[in-house]
Amino acid sequence: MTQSSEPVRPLDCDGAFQRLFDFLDKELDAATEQALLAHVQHCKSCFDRAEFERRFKAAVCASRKAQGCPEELRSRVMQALSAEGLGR
Amino acid sequence: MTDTDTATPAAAALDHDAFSALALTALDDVYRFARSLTRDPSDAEDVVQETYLRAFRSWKTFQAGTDVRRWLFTIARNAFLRSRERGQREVILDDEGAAAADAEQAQEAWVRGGLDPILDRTDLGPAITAALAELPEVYRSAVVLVDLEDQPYEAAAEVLGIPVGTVRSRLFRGRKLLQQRLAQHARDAGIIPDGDAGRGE
Repeated sequence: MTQSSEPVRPLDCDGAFQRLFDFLDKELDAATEQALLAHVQHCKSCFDRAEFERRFKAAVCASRKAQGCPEELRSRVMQALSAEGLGR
Repeated sequence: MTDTDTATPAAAALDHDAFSALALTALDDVYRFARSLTRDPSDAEDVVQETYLRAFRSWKTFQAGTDVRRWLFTIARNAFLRSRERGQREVILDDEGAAAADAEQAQEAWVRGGLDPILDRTDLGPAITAALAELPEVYRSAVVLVDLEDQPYEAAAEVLGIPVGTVRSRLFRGRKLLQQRLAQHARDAGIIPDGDAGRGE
């Protein structure tokens, strides 16, 4: 009989840390993600670290709103594109 | 793209509408990425304008249904590289990266302790923007593509012209560096009291 998925190998702290950022960036396969979650649910040190990195990533992502294109540049780009023929 | 490139005026209008609807709505994203490539705001603005002119001229090569931001980021990266002396830039950045790596290990636990209580504050954005602007370009561009623009590793690797493993290592080091710089900026702005974080740089 062929198994539908690889068995989940338990992770120690080093293994969990090595995969933490792949997990936060949604780059892990499902089986490894389950193994990482199983570890951090029982390891306070790794849980605290994972929570800190998750909150840090969320804060960096939220800062994007303050980094939009200035209106002057938007106008400059539109003028340059009009000169190239946009809208004609 | 010029009128002579399109079969009819109606087709040209459709192309222009598609360009406006897809490419121009990504202007904020392209600007953020351009700022990640160069510290100088006016250089970044030149990269953005050049990116959009090149994108407009080659709009017919864009494959409908694919990620327009990924396509624009790649054009922006190429425009940036052409505007700079590549060898000189990378030597400087490698030196900065090595120094940063040494500082990183010594400060990690201490920086975490300072940042942890403030990460949910809604007024942290300007400090993050300032800290991000100080990172060496190789780290900043990886962090911006993945953390701000939500690009997968494979897309970031393609845009930056590096292997996925290098994206991973630049992200790791870039995030640690960003945490150190953010702790410093947060202290300077009074968000973290003096003595909690930010010393030792």
